[in-house]
Amino acid sequence: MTVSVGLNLVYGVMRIVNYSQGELLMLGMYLSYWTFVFTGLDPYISIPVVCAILFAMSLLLHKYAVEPLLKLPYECQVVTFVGLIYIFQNGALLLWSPNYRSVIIDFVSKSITILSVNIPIGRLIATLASITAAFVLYLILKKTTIGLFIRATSQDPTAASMMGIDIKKIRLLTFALSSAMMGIGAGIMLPLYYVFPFMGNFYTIIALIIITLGGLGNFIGTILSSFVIGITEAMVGTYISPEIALAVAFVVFIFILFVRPSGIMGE
Amino acid sequence: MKLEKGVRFLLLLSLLIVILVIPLLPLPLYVFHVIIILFFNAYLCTAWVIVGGFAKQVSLGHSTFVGIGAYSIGVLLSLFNLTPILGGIVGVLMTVCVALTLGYPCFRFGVRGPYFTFATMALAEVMYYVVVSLRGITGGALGIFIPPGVISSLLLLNKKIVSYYIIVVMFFFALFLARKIQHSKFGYYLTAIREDEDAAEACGVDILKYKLVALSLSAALTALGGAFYAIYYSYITPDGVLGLAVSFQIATMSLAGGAKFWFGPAVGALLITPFTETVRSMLGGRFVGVPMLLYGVLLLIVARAAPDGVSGFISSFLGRSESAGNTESYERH
Repeated sequence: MTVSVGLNLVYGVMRIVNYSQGELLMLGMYLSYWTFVFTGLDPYISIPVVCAILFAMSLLLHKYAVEPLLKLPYECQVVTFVGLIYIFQNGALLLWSPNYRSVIIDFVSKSITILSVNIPIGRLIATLASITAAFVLYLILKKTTIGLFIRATSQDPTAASMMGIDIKKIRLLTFALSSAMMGIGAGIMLPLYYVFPFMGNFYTIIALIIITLGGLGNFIGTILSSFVIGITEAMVGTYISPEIALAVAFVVFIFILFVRPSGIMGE
Repeated sequence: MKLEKGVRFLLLLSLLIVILVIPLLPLPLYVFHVIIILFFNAYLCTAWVIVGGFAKQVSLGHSTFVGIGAYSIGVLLSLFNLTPILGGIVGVLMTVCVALTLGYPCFRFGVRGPYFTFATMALAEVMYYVVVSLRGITGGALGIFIPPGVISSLLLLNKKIVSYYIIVVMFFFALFLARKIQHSKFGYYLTAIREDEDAAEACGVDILKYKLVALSLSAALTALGGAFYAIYYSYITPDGVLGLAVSFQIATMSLAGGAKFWFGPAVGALLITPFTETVRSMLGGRFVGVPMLLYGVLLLIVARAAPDGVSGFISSFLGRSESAGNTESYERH
C-alpha cells in the first residue's frame, strides 16, 4: 500500500510514471536488512534511518535522472526508468547476490486472537503502519502549506508557477517524499517477506493496478483499492491457487481499464 | 549526403555476401551463437516498432507474444505430437487472437499512453502466471524440452547454420516489411496517430482499425520469433520467453535504437547485443550483474542525449529525410 501511495504522489505531481518505484522498495529493504545485520537494529526502529537515506538518494536521482525527463516524450521516460530498473536490480545482484534474505523477529510471527480470528502480529503492524503513513501523508497534503503547493503543482503546474510556487523544488520534494514512503514500506515488510534483487517489478505492477483502480491522486481511493486487491488475491489464492490469484488480479485490472480508460478518477 | 545508386548497390551487395559467408567462417561456437541472438533480437525489435514506434503504442507486453509462439510449439508437440511447423502456425493465429482481445477493447475505449502500457504489462504478467500455474500442460516453471530428434528432422543439417539462415531471412523480411509500412499510406496514418491521436481521428483516420492492424501484425511477427526461439534453443522456460524482463529488453532496445525509423530497432539491437555480450564474456562468471548494469547506464545516456534514439542521431547527421515523422513538433502532452 505504501508503494502505491508513493507512486500515486509522483504521478499526480509530475505526470511521470516511476516504473522503478518497486526497486526503491527493494533498496529500502536491503538497507534495513543491513542495518539489522550490522547494528542489530530492529527493522521497525530503523525506519527513520532508511527513510532518510532513501530521501537523500532520491534527491540525487531526481536531479540527474528524473528532472530532465519532464521535457522529453513518453518513450524516453520508459527507457530511462527501465534503465534505472536495470541499474538497481543488477547493482543489488552484484553487491548482495541473488539470495533471498529476511529478518526474523520473535514477536512478529506470533499472533493474537481477536473475536476468534487469529491475526499475525507482523501483518497487523504492517496494516496499521501503512494506514497511518497514508493518513499522515494525506494530512500533510491537505493541511500544510507544502501540501497546498504540492496539490497546486499537481493540478496546474503553469498556474502554480505563476503564483510564485517554485515548482522545481516541489517536484524534487515530492519525488523524495515518495521514496521516503518506500522506506516505511521496507521497514514493515522486511520481517514478513523476503528481499531479493528482482522483487521490485512485482510491487510496481501491483502499485500501478491499485492506483489505477483507486484513481490517480485520490488517497482514500488508493487505500480502499489496496484492500480490494489484497482481499481478492487472498481469496483466490486460498481457494484456487496462488499463481492464478495474481493472474485474476491482473485480468480484473485490464477490465477496469476498459471501463475507465484513464483510471476511475481519470481526466 | 545521399549516396549514389551504384555505391549503394555495391554496399548492399557486399553486406549480403558478408552475411551469407559468416556461417562458413571458423568462428567459435559462442560468437556464432551471439550473432544468431543478435539477428533474433533485431528481428523482435523490428516487429515491435510497428506498433510501439510507428504508432507510439508503447507496449511492454510483447513477451506474451513471444511466449505464445514458443509455447504453442512446445505444448502441441508434447501433447499431440504435432510438427513444429503446424505448431508455429497455430501459435501465430493464437497470438493474433490474444492481441485482438487485448487491443480491441483497449483501443475501442481509448486506453492510451501510460495506461496502454499498464494494460500490456498486466497482460505479460497474466500470461506468465498462467503458464507457471498450468503445470500439467506447460511444465510449469521447469518449462518444456523439445526432443532433438524433432529438431533435426526439421532442420536437416547443422542446426546452428540452418537456424542462422532462417533468422537472417526472417529479420530481413521484417525489416523490409517495416520499411514498406513506413512509406505506405498505412504508415503515414500510424505516424499521424503517433503525433496526435485526436487530430488524426478528427481528420478521418480510422484510428481503431489502424492501431489494431499494427498491433496484430507486430504480434504475429513476434510470435514467429517465439517459434524460432523454441526451435533454436529446443528448451522453453517461462523466464526465457515470458514476463516483463523480456518485454523490457525488446522495448528498450528498439527505443534506444530509434523507434521512429524502420531501421532504428535493428540498429539498437545490433549495437546493444554485442555490447552486453562482450562485457559478459570479458567478465566471465564474475560480477554477474555488471552487463545489465552497464546496459542500464547506457539507456540513461541514450534517453538524455538522443531522445529519438541512436538512429535519430544518425539520420540527422546524414541529413536524410528517411523518417516519416517530424521531429520538431515533438512536445510533451
